[in-house]
Amino acid sequence: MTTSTLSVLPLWILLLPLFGFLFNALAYPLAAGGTSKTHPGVAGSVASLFMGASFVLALLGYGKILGGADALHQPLYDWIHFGELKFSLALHLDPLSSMMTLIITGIGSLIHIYSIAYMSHEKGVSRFFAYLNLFCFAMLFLVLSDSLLGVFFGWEGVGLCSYLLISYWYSDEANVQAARKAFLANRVGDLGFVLAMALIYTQMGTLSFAELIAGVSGAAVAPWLFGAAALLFFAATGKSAQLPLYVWLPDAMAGPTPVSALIHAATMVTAGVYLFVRMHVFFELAPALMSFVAWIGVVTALLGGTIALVQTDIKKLLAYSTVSQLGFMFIAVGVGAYQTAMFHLMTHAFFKALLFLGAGSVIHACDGEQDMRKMGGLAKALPWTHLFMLVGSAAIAGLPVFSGFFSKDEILYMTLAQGRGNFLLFGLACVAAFLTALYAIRLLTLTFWGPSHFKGHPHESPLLMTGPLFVLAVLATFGGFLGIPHEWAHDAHQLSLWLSPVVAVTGGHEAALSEALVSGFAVLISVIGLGLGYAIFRKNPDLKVLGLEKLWAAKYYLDEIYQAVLVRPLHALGALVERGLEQGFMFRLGDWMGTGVQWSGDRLRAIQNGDLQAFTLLLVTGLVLVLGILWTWAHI
Amino acid sequence: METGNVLHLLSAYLFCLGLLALLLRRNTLIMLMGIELMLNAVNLSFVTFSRELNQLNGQLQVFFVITLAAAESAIGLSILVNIYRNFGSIKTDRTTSLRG
Amino acid sequence: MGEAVVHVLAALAAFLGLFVVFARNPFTCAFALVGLMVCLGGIYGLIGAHFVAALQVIVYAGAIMVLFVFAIMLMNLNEEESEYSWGHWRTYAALLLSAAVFLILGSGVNAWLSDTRKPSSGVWTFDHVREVGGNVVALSGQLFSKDYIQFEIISLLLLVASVAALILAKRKVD
Repeated sequence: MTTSTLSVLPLWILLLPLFGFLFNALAYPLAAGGTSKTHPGVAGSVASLFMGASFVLALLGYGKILGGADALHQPLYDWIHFGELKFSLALHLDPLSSMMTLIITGIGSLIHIYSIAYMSHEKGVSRFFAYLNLFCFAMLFLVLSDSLLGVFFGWEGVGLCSYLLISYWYSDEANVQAARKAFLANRVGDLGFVLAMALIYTQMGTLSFAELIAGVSGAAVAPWLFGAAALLFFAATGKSAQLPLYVWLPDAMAGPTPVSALIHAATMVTAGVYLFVRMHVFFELAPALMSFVAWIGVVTALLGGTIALVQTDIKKLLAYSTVSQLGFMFIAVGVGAYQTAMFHLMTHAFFKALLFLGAGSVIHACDGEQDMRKMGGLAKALPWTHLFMLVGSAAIAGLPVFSGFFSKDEILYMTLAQGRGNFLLFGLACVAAFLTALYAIRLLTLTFWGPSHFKGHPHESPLLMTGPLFVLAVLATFGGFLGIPHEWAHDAHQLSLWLSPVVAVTGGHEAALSEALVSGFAVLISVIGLGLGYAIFRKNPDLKVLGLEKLWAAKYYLDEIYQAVLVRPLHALGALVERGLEQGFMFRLGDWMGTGVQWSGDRLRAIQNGDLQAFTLLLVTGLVLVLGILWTWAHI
Repeated sequence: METGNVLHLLSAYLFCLGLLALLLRRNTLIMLMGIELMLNAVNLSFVTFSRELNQLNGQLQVFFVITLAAAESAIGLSILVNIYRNFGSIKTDRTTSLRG
Repeated sequence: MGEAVVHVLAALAAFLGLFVVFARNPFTCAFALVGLMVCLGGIYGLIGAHFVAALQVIVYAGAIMVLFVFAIMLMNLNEEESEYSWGHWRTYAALLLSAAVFLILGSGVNAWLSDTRKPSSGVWTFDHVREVGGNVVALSGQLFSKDYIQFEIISLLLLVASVAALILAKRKVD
């Protein structure tokens, strides 16, 4: 393999999903004579094939960096070159983006394969696969881009695909509403991104990561920098479903389950975390903000965890779980443990994709039923799905050996070991971890164990669905061994070694507690949570804790608060404008213009008398006037 | 007076006469003649400039203008023939069906 | 001698122009215009533009004006009713506008004559034209090299115009 073929590697990782999109969006529907006539097998196979090929290329890129290359940098072209304004597009494959690329293409391929079977009863699935491929393209663009502007392009692209996929079943109005909510909430966050880019560009004159980081390194902390960092954080809360903009994610479960697994669990929602890790040098210059980020993270984790406890919809439960886990990642980012955040991002992608796809398998088996209270006792009918869900739950709850154990314990440990961490943060994070175990066991108990409430005959899913589940289960089980703590074995934390060229490990000071102790404590919490949860939920699916469950079921009334504070006043303003400005003035203005034109036309038609002489007279009068004005102009 | 100046003035004068014919006359044919007169005035201007500046471009331009004038009068006259057939006259005060 | 003749011809042309505009009989107008064009042709010839002079007499005074005369006879237009009248405001408006245009053009001519920064003189002086073999040779040299594309385009225009004239003159298009 020559250097020239390697240098275009990032581009081809990116382009293959785009080709898949073009096939499924244009070529195949045209050939088949309409989207509704497309066959799920063909559309899905081609889409999966392109994703798989992209995954192979991502592996090649990984191997190349493993072989000693610093990074594969590939300038594409000057996107905007206008006077002094210049933005170049370039792809940059370094350890960090390589890791993200592997996650996206790897899990993406598995979910594509899974979708072939999952969507096999649907009509016109080429649209679904086209969106899915387009999403992968945008997401890869996001992680491969070497500048904020490119990231923004991907950022908007994934937002668009998320919107399109949530409203995939667009004939149902609730889905469309959910999609619109997701789009608008994201748009609010994106405003922060745009403002941040503008601010950074005016101050630094560049948006390229390399130049930005070189520019701010060692610089004195400026107020604008704090502002830009805060705006970027605001953007990240939108995309990564943190407070205050998390409200869209649970509603986004209206989309097909593979979409929830890929976009709303494994990849897109981690974009905010990725952005923080990518620009951590920048963010480290605003330590006060980062403490705030950690606090937002822990509050979000608690919020998501508690709401998840009272959900009855299996996908909603997982959605709030995602919100909670993303909160964990933001805790890690906030305290400055970037490699830990990436570690949890990876393991979370494994086990949450597994859980979502497993849930999809359950829903598939129960003919589209999503309410856990109507399930129960499915373990016998779905032995494989049951097994994989067990693995996923063990991983999310953080039982030893499973991947979640390593990553979550590392986050808990980092809340103590890092400079910005403290015991209160640690304590709250532990509560969140306890909640995690509780809702994990609730999912299992209600769905698989306990008395059966399902009327139909559930059937195990086909191999095309269990296959990807199996691969994800293996990953969710053993993925954690990439991050064995330093304390246990020297230089065994493969992930932080791998990321070290991009993210310097900031060990900080010695923690008050040893990592082994923290791990033991965390395992204890999980076991207590699991045991307690089993005891509670075996008998009664509904939780009762001092009346708090009503608050949780109402999602802390956040939707209502937004409705009252933002939506209603805007509606009222809209109504006011409609009545006052539009009907009172604009409509009448139209009438006035109409009557005015009619009136003047009635009088001016006298000029239009059909006499050629009169026309020429007018024409020459105009000519003389114009020339006269020009002449006067030239002689003044 | 110098010849160049005389010719420039003659050009301007003929142009205005052509314009006057266009504005004044009710006979469409004579309006067309006015246009021809204006074109001639412009030609004269071209040739005079060509002479003053020792260039050939002006005369070349006149060549093109004459060709254009031939095309214009051919079409103009055929339109007039049609008007005459339809209205029985080519006076502008008779052909006023294009009015508001 | 040439200069004087040019002046005489110019005066004659100016005089004939008045007939074109004000004569009531279309025949008078047409023949005045023929005479005016011949005068202009003479001027062209006398100031060195021989080829244009020939074109002026052959194409303008010959072909185009004959077409006009034919049109007059075809349409039986030698009646004089409903022409311009000196009692109508339009006549004065037309005169006024023409005078204004004349003033503007005159000021342009004046600006040109009094301008000291005239563009540099070209190479085609009287003597140089004589050297290459005369006005026609010089012009055709330019026309069939530098201006060849324009020449071809204008020939297309003539083709289109003749087809259009044919179609228009037919009573019915079948």
